Amino acid sequence: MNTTPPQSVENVSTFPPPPPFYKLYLNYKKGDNSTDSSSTTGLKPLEPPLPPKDGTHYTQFGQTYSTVDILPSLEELGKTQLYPQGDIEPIKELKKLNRSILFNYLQLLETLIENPTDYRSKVEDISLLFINFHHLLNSYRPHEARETLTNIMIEQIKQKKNTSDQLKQTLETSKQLLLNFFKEINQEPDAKLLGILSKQQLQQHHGQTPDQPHTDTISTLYINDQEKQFQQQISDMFNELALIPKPMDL
Amino acid sequence: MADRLTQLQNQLDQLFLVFGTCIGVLQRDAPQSSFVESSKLPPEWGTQVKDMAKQVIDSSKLIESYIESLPGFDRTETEQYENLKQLDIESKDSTNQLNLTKLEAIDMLNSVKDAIRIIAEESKNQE
Repeated sequence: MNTTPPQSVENVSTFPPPPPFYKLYLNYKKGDNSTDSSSTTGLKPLEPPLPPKDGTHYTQFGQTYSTVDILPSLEELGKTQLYPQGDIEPIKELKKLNRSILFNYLQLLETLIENPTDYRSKVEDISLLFINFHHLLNSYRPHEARETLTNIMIEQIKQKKNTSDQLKQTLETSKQLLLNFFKEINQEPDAKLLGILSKQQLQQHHGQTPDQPHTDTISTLYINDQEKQFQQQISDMFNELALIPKPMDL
Repeated sequence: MADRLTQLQNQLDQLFLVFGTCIGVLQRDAPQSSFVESSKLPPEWGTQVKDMAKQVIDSSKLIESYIESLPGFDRTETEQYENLKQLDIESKDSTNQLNLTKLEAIDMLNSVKDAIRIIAEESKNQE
C-alpha cells in the first residue's frame, strides 16, 4: 500500500535531460572516428581549456587558485608576526607561543573578572597568537614533506633488502637440496647442475637406484612451489613500487 | 592517521575550543559573588572549575609534547636533500641487487623445472 503523499516533481527532475552534446554521438559507430555528425548538428565537441601558465591564476569549482604554491607571510595577511624573521629555532618558538597562549588566556580570565568590558583586546591577542602558531606550523609543511619522503625511502630500501636476503636464502636451500638429490642418485654435481645433464646419464642412474628419485622429486617440487611463491611476492612488490611516485631527480 | 603537523594543529584548535567552552560554562554556571568574605561556594562547583582547569592544562601539555616530537626539525633543507640523494643511490643499488637475485632465482626455477620434467619422462619410459 502506498501511503506516502505524491511528491512534487514540477521543480526538481529526478532524471534530468542529457546535455545537448549527446547529439554529437547520435550516429556513433564503434571504431568510427569521423566527426561528420558534428557538422550536421552544428555542435562542436567540448574543448578542454588550455593549461594555465606558470605564475597565473585559475578557477576551479568557483575558487581561484594560483599555479605557484606560496605561503603568504603574516604581514601580507595583515597580521603581526610575533616570532623573529629568518633563521629561527622552530621548537623553541612554538613552545614560547604555546606558553604565551596559556598566559594570555589567564589574563583574559582576569580581565573578565575585573573589567569585563575590556575583553576585546585580550581576545584579539589570543587570536593573533593562534594565527602565528598555525602560520609557523604551515611554513614547515615542505620540511615535513621532505622528511616523510626520507622515511618512505628508508622503508622501501629495507623492504628490498629483506626480499633480496630471503630470496638468496631460499636459493641457497634449493641448491643444497638439488646437490643432495644428485648425491643420492650417484650423479656428480655439476656447476650448472641440471642444465648439462644428458638423458642417458639420468637413465643410467635411474637403473641403479630406481626408488630414490621419487622422494627427491617431491622435495624439488616443494622448492618449485616455494620459489613460485617468492617470485609472486617479488613481482607484487615491484608492481607496488611502480605505483609510488618516484622522487624528483635530485 | 594524520601527520604530526596536522595533529599539532588539530590539538591547537582543540585548545581553542576548550578556552571558549570554559568561558561559556563560567558565564552560565558560576555562582554570584557574595559580599560576605567567608561565604562558601557549592562543592560541586569547585570540582567543575578544577576539571576545566585540568582540561586546559592537559591540552597545553599535549601541544608541548607534540612540539617536541616534531620529526627532523634539527635538519636544514640542504641536509635533507643530501640525505635524500644518498637514499636515492642506496635505493637504486638495492633494486639492482634484487633484480640480480631475481634473475638467479628464475634460472634456478628453470633448472628445477627441467629436472622434474626429465625425471618424469624417464619414469614414464621405464614403465
